Amino acid sequence: MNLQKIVTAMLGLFFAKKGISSIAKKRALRDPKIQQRIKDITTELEQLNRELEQD
Amino acid sequence: MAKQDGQANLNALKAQEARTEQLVKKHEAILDLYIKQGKEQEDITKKAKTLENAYVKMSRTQKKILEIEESISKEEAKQEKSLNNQLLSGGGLLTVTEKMKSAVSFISKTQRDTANTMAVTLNQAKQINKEIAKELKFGLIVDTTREEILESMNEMDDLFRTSNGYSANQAKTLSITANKLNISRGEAAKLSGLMQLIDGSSSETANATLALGKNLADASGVKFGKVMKDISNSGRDFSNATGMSLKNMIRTAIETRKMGFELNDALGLATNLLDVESSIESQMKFNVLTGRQANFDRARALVLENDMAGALDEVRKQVGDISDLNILEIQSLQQATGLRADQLQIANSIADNAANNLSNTEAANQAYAEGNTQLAEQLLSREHATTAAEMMENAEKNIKESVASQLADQNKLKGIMLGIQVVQAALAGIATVKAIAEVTAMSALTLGVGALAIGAGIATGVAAMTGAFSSAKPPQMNDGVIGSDGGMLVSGPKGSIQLNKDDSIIAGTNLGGGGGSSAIGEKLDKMINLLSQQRVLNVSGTQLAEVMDLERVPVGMG
Repeated sequence: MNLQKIVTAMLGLFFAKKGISSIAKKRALRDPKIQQRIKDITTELEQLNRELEQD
Repeated sequence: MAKQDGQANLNALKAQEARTEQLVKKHEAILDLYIKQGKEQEDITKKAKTLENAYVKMSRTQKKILEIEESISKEEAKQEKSLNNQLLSGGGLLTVTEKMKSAVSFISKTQRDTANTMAVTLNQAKQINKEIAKELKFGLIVDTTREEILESMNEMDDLFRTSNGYSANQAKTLSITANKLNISRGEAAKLSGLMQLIDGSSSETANATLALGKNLADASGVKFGKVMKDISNSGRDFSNATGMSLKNMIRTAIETRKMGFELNDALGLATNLLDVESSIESQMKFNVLTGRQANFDRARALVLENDMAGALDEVRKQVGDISDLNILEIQSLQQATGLRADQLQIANSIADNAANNLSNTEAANQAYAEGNTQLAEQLLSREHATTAAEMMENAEKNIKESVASQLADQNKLKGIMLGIQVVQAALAGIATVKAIAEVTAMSALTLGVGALAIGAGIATGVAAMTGAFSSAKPPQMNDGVIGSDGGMLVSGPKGSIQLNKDDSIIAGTNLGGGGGSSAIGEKLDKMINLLSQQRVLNVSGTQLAEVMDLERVPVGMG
């Protein structure tokens, strides 16, 4: 019975952790500062790719 | 949509990065080809320059990507910590589960209550509750409740001997009427049911009769509640003896009460007067004894016409004042009429002091005889079924029960309760760590439905782990030696002490023979003192070894 409880608990914790991580990541990516920085880097890479395609 | 933006932006960045790598590889392959083909130095240099430039820019953006990934990780960790704290604090989750639990309990309780009251199964109770909920809509939710309707239904069940004789709608209307007339629901249901069964009235007519009866009672100066009680007590006997309709019985009960009598008195009078021979004999005896000229023939005729009130009044008039009658005279009067002296005295007194508004009584009587339903409706609309406080209470209760009646599927409810029990048990486990009473501003609802499952997972996990570890007992040892095994840490109330890595621990009970450490020291000191007197120690004639050169036991030993 105790083993069953521990297994259930571990599974519960595993899925809970996964769920929380997923929500936390989504929230982190929604941070406006982070979003802006991602967009800036993307623009730089787009520019570089254009240059490389022209050459 | 906004939730997906963050991931979409990150995906766009990754796509551009992959594209850059692809293009750089392409240029590397071209440069390689140029060299192998022996292209002009100028072309090779140009291509090399392009690549060099790309490498520099790539390296710069890659540094930025690493930085942004680090920022995302930090923010993620921060968010995760915050989520954990919010969920583990349990306040929001507990509130949600508590609300759900109380809702489920409420639904179950309502269903069980109906089942018990009506002596039906839970499934039938669910159906009844649904029907009642359907009836209690709009403004009616303030006028009565499920319990009150059930009370009426139960009473009608007894009368009709079947549940098919009336509907939830009839029970509701009756319950509201009883509330408005402030009469007992049980008696109102009994009367209404009997009117339907004996008189063949419709439930609407029976309802109107009750309202008009109350009106007549008011106009006659008697309390309708008392009239109802009188009918409830003696109505069946009265009806059986006289064959009077329920409607007429109500009027008779009002009229007799107005004179100070009850239905039972009227029935007694009728029985005595119709025992003609005996009655006439007693009447003559009364007249001889008192010298009066009492004649009950008209009263007898009125009884035969079922005008009991008229008969009572006639007898009262014929007998006149009885305050000066002796015991024999009173006995003969009682034998002739079946009425007691005190009742006749009260009736005389009421008649003397009567200052009734006859026109009002007559109008009420006429409306009652005609069964004026329009007036009945008006009368009922003027009355309030509930007080303001009861109104609020009823509304709240009925709305809750109406919702409950739609959700009362016991199988589903059992599943929900099981889930709630698991979450709550888990929350109870961590309640000692986190102050659950402190309900945080955050609730599980803000995280969406998934959060409930997450919270349940965490809670179950923590609780089970806590239980598992707290219940695990440390290994036990009686008297023995714990080897060094590369160092030992001893923990106790004064903290943890790291022992020398080569030390062993000897454990035992009463190692020094009891008496504490100072007693052991004393014994050792005594032994050293004895041994110091000879350099070589002999035990049973065997020379063991040279005695150690000690004067006292070192501090801390023993």
